[in-house]
Amino acid sequence: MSTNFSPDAQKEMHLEQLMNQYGDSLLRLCYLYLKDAALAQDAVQDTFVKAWKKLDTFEGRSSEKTWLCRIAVNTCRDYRKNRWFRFVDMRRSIEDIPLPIQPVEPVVQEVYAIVKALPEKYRMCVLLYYWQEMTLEEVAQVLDISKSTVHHRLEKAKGLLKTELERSEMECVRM
Amino acid sequence: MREDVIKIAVEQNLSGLYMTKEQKTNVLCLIQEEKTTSGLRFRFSAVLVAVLLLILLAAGAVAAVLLGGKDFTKEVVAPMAQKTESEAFTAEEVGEILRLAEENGITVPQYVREHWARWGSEYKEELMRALVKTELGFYPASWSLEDQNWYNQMLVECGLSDSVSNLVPGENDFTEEKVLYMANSLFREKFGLDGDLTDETKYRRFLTFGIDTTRPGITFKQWCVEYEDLKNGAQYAFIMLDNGLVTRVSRYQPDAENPYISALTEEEVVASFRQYFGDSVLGWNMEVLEQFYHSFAMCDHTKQAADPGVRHVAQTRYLMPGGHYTYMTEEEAVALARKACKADESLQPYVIYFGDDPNNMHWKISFWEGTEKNKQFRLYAQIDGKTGETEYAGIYVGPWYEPLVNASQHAAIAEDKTIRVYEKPAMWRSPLFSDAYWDALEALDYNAETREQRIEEWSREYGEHTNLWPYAHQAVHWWWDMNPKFDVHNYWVPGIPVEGEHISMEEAKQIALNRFMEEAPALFTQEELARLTVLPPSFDYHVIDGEVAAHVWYFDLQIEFDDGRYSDSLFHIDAHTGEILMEDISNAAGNG
Repeated sequence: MSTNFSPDAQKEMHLEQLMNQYGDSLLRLCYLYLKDAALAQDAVQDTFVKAWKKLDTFEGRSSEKTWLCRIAVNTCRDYRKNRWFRFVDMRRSIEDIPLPIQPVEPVVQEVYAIVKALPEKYRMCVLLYYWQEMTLEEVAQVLDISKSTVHHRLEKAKGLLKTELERSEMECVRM
Repeated sequence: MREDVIKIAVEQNLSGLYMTKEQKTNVLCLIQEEKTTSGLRFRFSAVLVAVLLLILLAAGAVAAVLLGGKDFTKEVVAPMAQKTESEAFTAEEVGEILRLAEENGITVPQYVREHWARWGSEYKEELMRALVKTELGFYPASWSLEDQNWYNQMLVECGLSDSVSNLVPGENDFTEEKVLYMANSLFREKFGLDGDLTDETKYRRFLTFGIDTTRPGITFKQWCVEYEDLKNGAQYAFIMLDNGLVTRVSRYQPDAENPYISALTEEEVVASFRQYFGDSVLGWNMEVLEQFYHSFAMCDHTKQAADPGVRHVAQTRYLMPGGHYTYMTEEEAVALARKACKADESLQPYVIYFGDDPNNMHWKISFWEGTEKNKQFRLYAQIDGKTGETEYAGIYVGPWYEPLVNASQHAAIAEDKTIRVYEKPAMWRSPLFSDAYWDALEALDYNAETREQRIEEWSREYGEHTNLWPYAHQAVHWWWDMNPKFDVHNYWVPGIPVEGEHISMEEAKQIALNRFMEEAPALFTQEELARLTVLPPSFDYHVIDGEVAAHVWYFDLQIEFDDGRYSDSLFHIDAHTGEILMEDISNAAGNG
């Protein structure tokens, strides 16, 4: 980064770079956590504001991605800490997110639906590990749980996914 | 299962969800606001040090009395939190708080210490909550209503919350005892909940009362009672508005075959809302409509409401203008709509504001004449909530509920299409397929009401995999549960083979095998061929350009390789003629 800019400007540029690099995936992560697009958009904005506040103290003990994911997950948890949230409809059938840019194969839709329907503790592990391609250690850091818990949850989640996919396998093949 | 499938599935399905330029700009604006306040903080820093010292000295003195988690938070931590604008305590402040907590004999949870060690600073609210929990219990909703209210007020005083959402019931509100009695009676009656519900070894109880301040414009006070069965994890929820309208009675049991069960039917929800807010849905304000949307979405849909209009109304989410969801005033929107559909001043506007996404909000303004009780709708316009662009403008033609629904639904209403989940599948009894076919499916008595029972029976009788079920059973399951989409030019529908009309499965199989064996020796070893498996075939109607082009036996011949992977060779056999319509013979290995 150029030294012609003030430290403040550099910090903002750094934040912009983080938003460009991770904004979309953090927004999707928040959505998959909260299952509400409007809340997810609020959460991702909060995440970056918090990240900006903490940028100076970020010591690089984890990757920037892990660090941001952790802030995002904590922000989502904060949103959910209000018990009213538990009574917001999580099952509504109307899709509240924009349609995919390209048409999605039915089998891919099916996998997505199955992953999205996993219980939260498994879903977050699966998403961070397989989608965000984090290591067990990184997932553990983001979720603030032990590595072995992550491993256990992933094993359990794989079992659940396999059962669900087998159930729909033949229909997917047909389609 | 290939693990990159998950990555692909998420990326593709959520490709329409991305952080817009405006959202990024919004973050940068928020930061500018933060900078202003942090500047103030800097100027106060010298004073702050002195104040902190005084507080810490005072706290030290208090330590001799040994405060509990609640009083410690109230008397030591909250005053510290009020001294700075930041949402977080610095590492030094956290260190000092933890030290003082220890002196008071408060056992700070290990996760707080670990978090502090790893991340340094700590969000004020998180730390205060953790400390209060040491005295009042882990779950805030299990605290007394007075404690919830106290905690909420403290957050407001510390600048960590905008308003108090958790309230203490007043003279005109239901009492806690009465609400618990009502909830418990319903849980016992509807779900057979038995025994002593106050037995903390069996149930964890949550009780809240207040206003959902996370949604702009909400004024209803609401009671929530929830029990968690500690044995099987089932959660029982009861929600009631402060006027006595029960909006939800449900059970959620994650491991059950049918995890979510509502004790309220569509008809009951509709009847209750009409009882409390008037028969005419058009007379309900947006807060009532929004509440109705949530209650309806969570009720039991197996028996649909007699009035199809209310189901249309329940498909739209109504948001009260306010907060960052609103980009223009109602007056501005009405002016734009009036101009768009050339509505003169004598016509009165009926306004709704709806949408789930802050970036995709809409105003719908319908213009009427007549009396308040007998509105004659004439014109309507839908305006983009953000840009003010006119999305639709037209002459009113439609049923009573048309002013309440998204204008893009208007076409669906006009064609009398109903929402699939409550109705028969699209194209049900289409003349494209024979009456005998439809009669055979209807004879299985499979529909929204019976499906759970049928799936259970058939899984028991024919196996878990639907491809092992008889063809009529597979077909009816597909129509009702696979949410089929019908491309204009090309699609497949599960069919039923008919003896005498179609070649048998065995004949078709032989045709596929004969063809396969012509090519196979060049592609596979003898050992591999010995592991050939013919998967249960499907039987489909292939529709091309609106006509049934063929009845097809669809075979998958699978060979397992030594490394556990498989190759698939596919055949479409014309069930009338035995002709091979498509073949794909391959030794390419996949994961099956």
